[in-house]
Order: sequence, then structure tokens, then C-alpha cells
Amino acid sequence: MSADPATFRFVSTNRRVREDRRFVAGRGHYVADVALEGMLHVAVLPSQHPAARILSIDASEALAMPGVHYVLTGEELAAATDPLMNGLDTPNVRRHPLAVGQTRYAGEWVVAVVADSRAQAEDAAEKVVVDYEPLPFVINAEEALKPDSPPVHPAHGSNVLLDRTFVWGEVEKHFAESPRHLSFRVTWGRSSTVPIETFGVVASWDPWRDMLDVWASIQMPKYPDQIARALRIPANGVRVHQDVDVGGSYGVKRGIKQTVLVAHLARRLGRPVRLIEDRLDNMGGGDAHGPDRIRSRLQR
Amino acid sequence: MKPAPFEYVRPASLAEACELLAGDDDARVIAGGQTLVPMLAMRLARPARLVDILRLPELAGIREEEGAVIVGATTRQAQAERDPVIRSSVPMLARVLPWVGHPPTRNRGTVGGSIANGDPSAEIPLVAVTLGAVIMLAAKTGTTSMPAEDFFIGPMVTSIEQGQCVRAIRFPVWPHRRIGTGFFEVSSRRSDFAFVAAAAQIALDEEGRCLEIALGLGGVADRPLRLDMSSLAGTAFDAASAADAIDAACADLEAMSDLHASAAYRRRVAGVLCRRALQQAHDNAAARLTKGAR
Amino acid sequence: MKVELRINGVSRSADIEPRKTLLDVLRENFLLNGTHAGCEHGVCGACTVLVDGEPVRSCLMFAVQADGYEITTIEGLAPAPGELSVIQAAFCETHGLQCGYCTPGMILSAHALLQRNVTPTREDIVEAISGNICRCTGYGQIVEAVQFAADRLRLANTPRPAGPAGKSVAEAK
Repeated sequence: MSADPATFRFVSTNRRVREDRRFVAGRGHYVADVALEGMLHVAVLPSQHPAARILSIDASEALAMPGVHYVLTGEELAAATDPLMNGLDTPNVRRHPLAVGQTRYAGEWVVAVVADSRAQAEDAAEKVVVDYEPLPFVINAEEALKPDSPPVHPAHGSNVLLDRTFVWGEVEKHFAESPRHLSFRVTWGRSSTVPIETFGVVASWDPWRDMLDVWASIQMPKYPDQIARALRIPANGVRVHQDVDVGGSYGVKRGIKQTVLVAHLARRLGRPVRLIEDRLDNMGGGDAHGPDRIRSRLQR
Repeated sequence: MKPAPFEYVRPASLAEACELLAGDDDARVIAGGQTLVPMLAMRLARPARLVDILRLPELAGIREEEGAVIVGATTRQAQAERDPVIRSSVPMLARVLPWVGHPPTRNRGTVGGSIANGDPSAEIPLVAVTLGAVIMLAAKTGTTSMPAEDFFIGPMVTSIEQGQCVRAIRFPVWPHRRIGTGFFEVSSRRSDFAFVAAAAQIALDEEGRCLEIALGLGGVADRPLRLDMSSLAGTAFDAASAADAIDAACADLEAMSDLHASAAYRRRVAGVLCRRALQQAHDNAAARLTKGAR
Repeated sequence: MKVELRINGVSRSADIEPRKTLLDVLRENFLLNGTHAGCEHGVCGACTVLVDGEPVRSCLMFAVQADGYEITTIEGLAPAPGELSVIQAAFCETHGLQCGYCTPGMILSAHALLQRNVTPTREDIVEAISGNICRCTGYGQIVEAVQFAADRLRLANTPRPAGPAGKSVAEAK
């Protein structure tokens, strides 16, 4: 670099980051700091089964607990919202924030309880009785490819969602010409970036403007679009407040299912609704970053 | 992760606390809370009532007696870490305390709490067993004592009964002049639970012969163990004999296997850490003549 | 249950369930949002406050246990509105943070260290912040911030030649 540094206003200058001042003073504005009048709190109830049919959900005892306003099931949510976008040509793979008809992984959220406080919502979630019929399950990607493995999405017909081969260059020719061959097999498990702040979202529905206000720990593209789609409202009916600080994401915070869940509840109950994942919610059923992956046969 | 609801009571005296504990099966003691509160948060423990003993005067303080140091149960680990009496008279405890949890957990966590929890890989129970400490238990009926090796009976299982709480721990003080300690631990990270921990204390006479030896192993079996090193007493310390004595003591060692480490790993590492701890203790004791004050 | 707590030198009271943690009371009852929840089971340190000057995990303390102590939160560190303490300014200087979520807890742990030891070694610093997890920075610039603050605190009362106006402390050296 031959340019004279003295001519730059920003590059190679000793400047401070603007946000640091408020963060060192503890004056960040994270989603858990958002407190709206009349706000209600959500706790989710996960399934402990790798695969199970949901036979029945009895929320009667939960609804009678102090501070409880609502218990939402996957069936109700699926009727009121469109499935989450898969990003693949898989119309028969329908995913919703809460399990519908069957659960497909241990940790999948089955029921959402809404109460005056998170503690009360958790108390009530314990009282929801879900009757499961455990199903055969597969938790290994290679096993899942076999034709006789349990189908994760039976309506899709197989466990293959996408089968594509990407070819760059003359692969076979170069393999044939190489003096040395190396092959190995690597597997790595499901991973997350585990930010110190879990995902959280507050949503508020204004029925007079048909406007959904959203505060969330989000920094991903195509966020309001997906919310609007799921809720069957125009894209300009979702107003994401971008002044919410994010406590780390590194790519993991997609937040779609959490937001659709909370937005539906806000619209249904006519009050702001908040879901802040606790660490168990987050690691058991929240967004993950990378799935199980298997790589083999690399060659130099 | 919010705990299930509970009542909270802070008795003004040990007698009142014991009365409360005896009268209620569903009451649990809380002191520093560093172990209990996470369990409450995850709803793994759901007592109906918490009896807060942290400020009871009868459980506080560190005092010296003939041949012993009595550490009150509610002594915070950070306090013990800085205490000059413990440094000079119970050097093994002083050596080990920086390995217990993190600075913020040592600021609230108590010595008695670690004892009462009985984690097989915890450092403070290991020191108690290795030195042959005595656990003093308070109850409505009075105070009883039990050797540490009888107190820890399984993983997170102690002999404590409903209505009792740990009152103090009586650590024996060695009368010898040349004492050295050693401690080694293997874990994922420094503050994590030990996969294997070895603690040693040696006293040498003026000729360098072992007057007294204590060696203990934690994290391997379902509770901390004291190993029999009596064959080395009265002898000049040498690494080979020490290794033999360790091998003999570890011959029938029952090791745990879990997702952190296999039993085979624990057994192998146990031998290595015991040798290192004993060597370190010996070297520290030997240095006491040439260097003077420690 | 009614509790009366001393927070940043001021007495504050609340009527709460015994199961409500000090962390939740600080945030919800006293609207002091600078103390953060990261794990709610005592492993991450985002909830760190000072209790009688010592770092403590506020998620592992119930508010009903917190009476009778002087509790300091990050909001209590600034010398005056709009001003930053030496350690806070040092974190800005070295950019010892990115998302800011672990930062209040990290700063309080560092502050407590420097209160008792103004010549910490690198090992002392690493040990002092070992209970605070940061997922953004890789810790290097955090340690630098504490070293920088230690240097400034050490030099605070020593006479120094007046430097050219307008230069930062680093540039003036």
C-alpha cells in the first residue's frame, strides 16, 4: 500500500467504535429489555421423544393455574398460519413453530403457554398433559437414506429433501491423472454458535393499522418477509424495530418459528407477547447452526 | 429457567434451623446456593421450603484448636482461600481452593456446601478424605461427628440425614516442621469438574525420611478415596517405591465411566497424577529446610 | 415477601416471590437492564454484579438473600452521567467487546480485580475474568483493556510531564 495514511479519514486511524460507549455503561437495548404495557410471557413445552405421534393434549389443569392466559397447540397454529419456508421444492414437508400431529425430534416444541410471568408460564407448562405414541426414529443421516428407514415426513415419501451434485471442472479426468489418492471420512455433529444472548422476540399487533410490531434479537435478511408470509399479511404489515441490539448471533439466529409463534399469539390475544428462550429452550429446540454432516473422499 | 415456587425462611439460630429441618421432609438448606440454585432453576430439585443458614453465627468462622483447624460450614470458599490460618496449618486446602469453581462461585459458595454436596470429583471433599478430616453435623438433638471417609458414601450421596446440616469441618493439623503438598487435576477446563484429581501431603524429618504421608484420589471412584501409603512411612522417598506403593493401592480401584472419560482412562491417569502429586509434595517439603519459610 | 436492597448506594424495595432471583429483580423491579441473563444456571457470568465489592452471579442468588449487602451493578460504575470510569473507558479504547452482552459482567469482574490489585499479571487478569464467557472477542482485547486500565490507575496520581494537547494517553507516551 503506497497511499499516504494521513490522507485517510477512517482507514488506519485510531477511531473508537460508537456502540462501545453504551455497552460499557450497561445501556444496550436488547430484546429482553423491551417492556410493553400488558406484555405476556411464553414458555414452551418440548417433546422428549425422538419421534412420536401426538394423541392428545390436555391443557385444562394448566389453564386453571394462576396468571395463565392461553395454551396454544400446533393444530391451532397450523390452521391460522402458513408453514415455514423450507427454501426447497418440498411442498409436502410442512413445518410449523409447534409440532402438528407428530413430533420429529427430542426437544421439538409442542405447546406454548402464555402467562403474566415466565415463571407462571413454566409452572403451567408442567401441567399440560401430552399423550404420545412413540414412533420408530432415525437419527443418523446415512441410516435415513436407506429405503427402509423410518420416514421423518411421511407425506414427502422419503428422507431425501434435496439430491444434487455440484460439478466444477473435469473431476474424473483429474482423479485418473493424479499420482496420489487420498480418501478419508469426516463426520461432525449438529452445532450452534451459542451466543451468550439466546434468541428472543416481542410482538405486538395493532388491529387498527393491521400492523405487527416486532422487537427481536435478529440480524438476518428476509426476516419480516417470512413472518408476513406465515401470518398471511402483506409484507409491509410487519414492522421490525431495528434499534434492538443483538447479543451475538454469528449466523444462528433465524428466529422465524419463534416470531411466527409469538406474532400469532399477539394477534390472537390482543396483547404484546414475549418469548425469551432460556438456555434449555435454545439448545433443545431453538435454531441450530449446522446439521450433522458427513464428508468423504477428498483427493489431492 | 425459573424455579418452582418455594417458601423461604431465615432462622436466627442453629437450633431454630435444625428444628425447621427436622420438622419438614420437604425443606432444604441453602447457604451459598452455587450448587442448589442451578438445580432449582432447572427444576431438578423442588423443595417446598428453603432454610437459609448462610448467616448463622454458629456456622461461621475459622478457629484453631489443639492439632486441628475447625472451618465453619458457611465459610465462603474465597474466605478460606485468603485465610492465613488455613494457609499455614491446612496447606493442602489452601493449594486446592483456587481450583474450585470460578472466583465468583467461590465468593458465595461455602466449604460446608461443597462437603454436603458430595460430588465425587470435587476438590474440598477430596482434601477432607485425604487428610482424614472429621465432618461435624448439627441436629435438633445436638452435634455429632463423623470421619470424612464415612461421610461420603456415593456420588452426590452423603450420610447426612433429614434434620441435619453440616456444622463444621475439623481438619487435622500436622505437627511436623517440613510439610509439603501436591495437587494435580485433569479436566476439560480449569474450573470444570475433575476427571481425575490427586492430592498429596508429605512430612519429612531432618534426614529427609517420610514421617507422614497422605494421598487421595478424586473423580475416579464414586467418592473421594484415601490411598494407603503406609509402606512409605519411615523411608527415604524415592520415585520408584512411591510408584510401587501407588500401583498397589490402585490395584483394585473401581473407576467410573461416563461421557467425559472411560474407566480405563481414569485408572491410567490416576496412577500418573498420584505419582506427580506425591513428587510435588515431597519436593515442596524438602525445600522447606533449604528455603526456610514457605 | 418484602425485601430491601442496597443497589448502587440507594435503598430499593420490592415485594416478590422468594424464587425470584436477584438478577430478575434488578431487571424487572428496578429496571436496571445492564445486568444480563445468559444461562440462568451460573456458568456464563453475564449476570455478574458486585456484592460487597466481590463478583457474584446474580442468577444464583435469590433477592430474598440479597439484603444487607452493598450491591453494585454496571449502572453504578460510571462516575457521573455521561462519564465513564477508567475501566469502562479502557474497554472502549481497546474495543474489548463487540455485541456488548457479556460486557457489564466482564467489566465488573475486572473492576473488582483492579480494586484489590492495581499491578495484575496477565495470569491474574485471566483468572479474574475466568468466570465470564465471551463469544465474540476471543478475550485478547478484553485482557488488553484490563491491562490498559491497570496502567492508567497506577499512573493516576503520579506527576507526569504535560503532553501535547489533543493526544490520547497512548499517543502521548
